[in-house]
Amino acid sequence: MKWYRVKKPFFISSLLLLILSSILLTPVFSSVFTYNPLVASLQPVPPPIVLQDPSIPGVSVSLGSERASASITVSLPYSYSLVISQDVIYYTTFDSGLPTNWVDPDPTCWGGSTTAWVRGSITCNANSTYEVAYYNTPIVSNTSTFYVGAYVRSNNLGGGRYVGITLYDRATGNYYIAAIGNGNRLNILRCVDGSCDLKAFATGLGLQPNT
Amino acid sequence: MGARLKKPALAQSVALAIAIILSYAFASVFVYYPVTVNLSPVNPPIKFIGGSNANQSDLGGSNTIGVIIGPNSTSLTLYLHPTIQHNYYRDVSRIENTDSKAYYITVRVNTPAGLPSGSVARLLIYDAPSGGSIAIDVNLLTTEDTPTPPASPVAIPAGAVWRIDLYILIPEDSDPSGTYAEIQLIYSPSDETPPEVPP
Repeated sequence: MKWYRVKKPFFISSLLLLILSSILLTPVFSSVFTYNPLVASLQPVPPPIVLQDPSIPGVSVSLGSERASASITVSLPYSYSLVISQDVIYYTTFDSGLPTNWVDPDPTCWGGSTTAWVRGSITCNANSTYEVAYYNTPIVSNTSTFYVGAYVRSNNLGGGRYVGITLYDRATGNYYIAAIGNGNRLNILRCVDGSCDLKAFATGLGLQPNT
Repeated sequence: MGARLKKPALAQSVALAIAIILSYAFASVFVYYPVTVNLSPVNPPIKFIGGSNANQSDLGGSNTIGVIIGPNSTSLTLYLHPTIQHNYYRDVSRIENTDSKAYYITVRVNTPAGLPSGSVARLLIYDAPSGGSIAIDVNLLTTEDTPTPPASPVAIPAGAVWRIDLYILIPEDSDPSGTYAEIQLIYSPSDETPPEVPP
């Protein structure tokens, strides 16, 4: 047997493989790459803008070592709570004058009787329709202008008559009213510059004597 | 005893003689085939150009965002002056494909920058002069190719202009010093992983 007869199939298949490989590999070997250099030089500098602690009471500031960061904690020392120690809602409280420690810009406002209007059309620190008295010590501790006061217009809960409480700003004369009256309604009013605006109301309410 | 000592010497002598004879034989004849290599240089199809913030004011005194582009626009050196915390340099340089066909880009960090532990140094290549999306995000603190193989290089279309931004983060409780990163912008008409350049 001649050697080329035995090897011919192997020879042909190898040749085909070589041709195929060269075709497939041609694009790979034809690749060209270009290398452009790029240098990034970093020269750190101190922070030109730094943070400071303004030393404000109640504000805790923790600065980073380079003063480029800060952790700020604001503490709120004031807790807002409304404590009413005087039974100011019941209208008869004011029938014989102001309770102890209550003051009024016009002392003559509150000399009413037990059976009639509290001085009728008296004007204290509000307009002619609404009268306000306030407790001498601010109840809300972080302001000197808000007081819880008593709003009394009438000892009668009939039409146009109310009793209730008020949040009164002595500096501006503006106040909120939560009052019951006028046909057993609960009214919430906002009074600014002497003009009151009814914000909310409910009907069918009543009062019990403070016994 | 004497005969035993002479055997190795004889063998060495014979081997030396054969080596001399053979070397003489291989050095005695040379054949010369002609090979011609034609080189026709072309203009660089990919070029560096300055960004809108190149050589503008940088942090610290009279420092500037130094951008130096080589005479053929094929090399780029950046001088930046970051500080503690996060620093972002936008549009310091650009990459322009001046050719009429796309090229495939790989960025290779040969020498990484040395910054304190916890630092970040990234070279961000966006696919537009403004806005756009990140095409290549290079970590300057590691020796590697981006995109990392087997991921394919990123194609920059014909005529496209891409933007180079840098983001540097240096932790506050650290003492950084000057450093640099040596990088290569590698491009090719084919989307293969670029080979190492021979020394």
